[in-house]
Amino acid sequence: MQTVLAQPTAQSFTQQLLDRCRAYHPKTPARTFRFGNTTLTAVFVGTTNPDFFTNAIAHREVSASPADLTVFVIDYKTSSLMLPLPCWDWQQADGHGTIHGLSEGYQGYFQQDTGVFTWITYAEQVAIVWGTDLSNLPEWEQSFPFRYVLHKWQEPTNRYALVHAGAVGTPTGGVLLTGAGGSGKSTSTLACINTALQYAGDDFMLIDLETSVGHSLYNVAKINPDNLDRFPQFQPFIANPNAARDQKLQLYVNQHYPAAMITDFPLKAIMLPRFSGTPHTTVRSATRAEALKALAPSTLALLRADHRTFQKMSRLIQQLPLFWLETGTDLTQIPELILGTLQSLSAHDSATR
Amino acid sequence: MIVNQYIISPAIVCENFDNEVIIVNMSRGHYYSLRDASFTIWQGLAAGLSPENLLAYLTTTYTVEENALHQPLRYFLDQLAMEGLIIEGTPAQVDTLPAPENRQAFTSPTLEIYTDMADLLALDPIHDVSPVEGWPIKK
Repeated sequence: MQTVLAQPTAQSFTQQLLDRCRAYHPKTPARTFRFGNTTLTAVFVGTTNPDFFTNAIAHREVSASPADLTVFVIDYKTSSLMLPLPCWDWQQADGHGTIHGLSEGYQGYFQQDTGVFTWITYAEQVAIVWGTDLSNLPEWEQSFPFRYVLHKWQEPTNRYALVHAGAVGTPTGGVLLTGAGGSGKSTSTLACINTALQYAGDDFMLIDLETSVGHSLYNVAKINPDNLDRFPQFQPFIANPNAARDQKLQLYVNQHYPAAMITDFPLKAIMLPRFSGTPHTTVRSATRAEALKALAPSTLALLRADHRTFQKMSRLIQQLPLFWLETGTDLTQIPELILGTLQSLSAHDSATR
Repeated sequence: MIVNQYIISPAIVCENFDNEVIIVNMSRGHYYSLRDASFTIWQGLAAGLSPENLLAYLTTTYTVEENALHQPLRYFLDQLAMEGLIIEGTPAQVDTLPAPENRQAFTSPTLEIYTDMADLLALDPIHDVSPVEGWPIKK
């Protein structure tokens, strides 16, 4: 009699993996974070440095509560917890590591350069982030932990989208700052720290398209080393002062300037920074096409996002006033102009109400 | 090669504005802007017009003779096809486009290509997989 082994399925793969995670001891205490409507609990399996994954989201930490999404972070080197045999053929992975053709309700991604495998199962409300040696991840990874998980979790929804943008504002309203690398997005957000505007991020934001509320994801401000002399006040607080010249320096705003952080605010406008080449900062209207060109390509590329995220970004730019923020070398003018724009929009809202 | 009919590739995403369409082709890592005559042609393609009907539509939209349109239209369609934005095919339906109120001066259609996104989409294919564990071997 011939014995035929059952082919692994996405469901059986998930079950085996979860059984191994739950059987593993000792575990580092779980940490819980809230992003918009999603409560995320991170469970660390063998990870020796959970702070690597939590410093950037520390401002979103909440007391333990039922999770919408549980993320197991597994370090193979210290836990010896190996993944089960995959239920797909690696030919199904594209050149970016995304595994296609999985059963509905499952997403898989293998990042070849870091050896990190990410698995998301919607029905089980679980994600797995597994690495061969998480202590060797590049520094920049700690500035936006779980971005792929959060993006994939929200991608099927109509309501939420992760976008590649920074944001600053006040509890009554803020602006999204978006543009390709080198446009001045980071300079603009850095210039707003410790001003009348508060800081919500400079890299990714979670947007609620139904309410137009922006939710901060990461409290890290990034500084190009060549730009540090314009922000000498931040120099003592740089988390990675020995970073290579081609890497950005990181400032954990929540650690050093907790009062400068804001977690959520209603979005009142989208601004597209670009350097003016003069000392002065000016604001002028932008078209919807210009805003989509600034927002969509880097969001789609960095998150490996699909048409659903593109459509959400198209909706977003229909909902908000759009401006070019032409930033000057006099950094004090940047928060002044943003605040002035917010006040003008608020006055206009009041007048038309 | 002369193609009788093109359709917009299902692999792209696009958004129309007043006189501009933004198109993203994720597989190539490029995005595009089409304005003026190129926008008009894209609208015609989206409506399911054949190249012949596109020619006729352009002559109603612009102050230009049909003979002067053959070459720029052919060149532009070839560009769109080379970028993977249109493919040969039969449209599911053909829509009627509104007749323009005033004919405008014609300028040759151009495809503005933006390649900065491609830098963020570096390919990193999986080559070596452990025969025992079934997982890629980290480089």
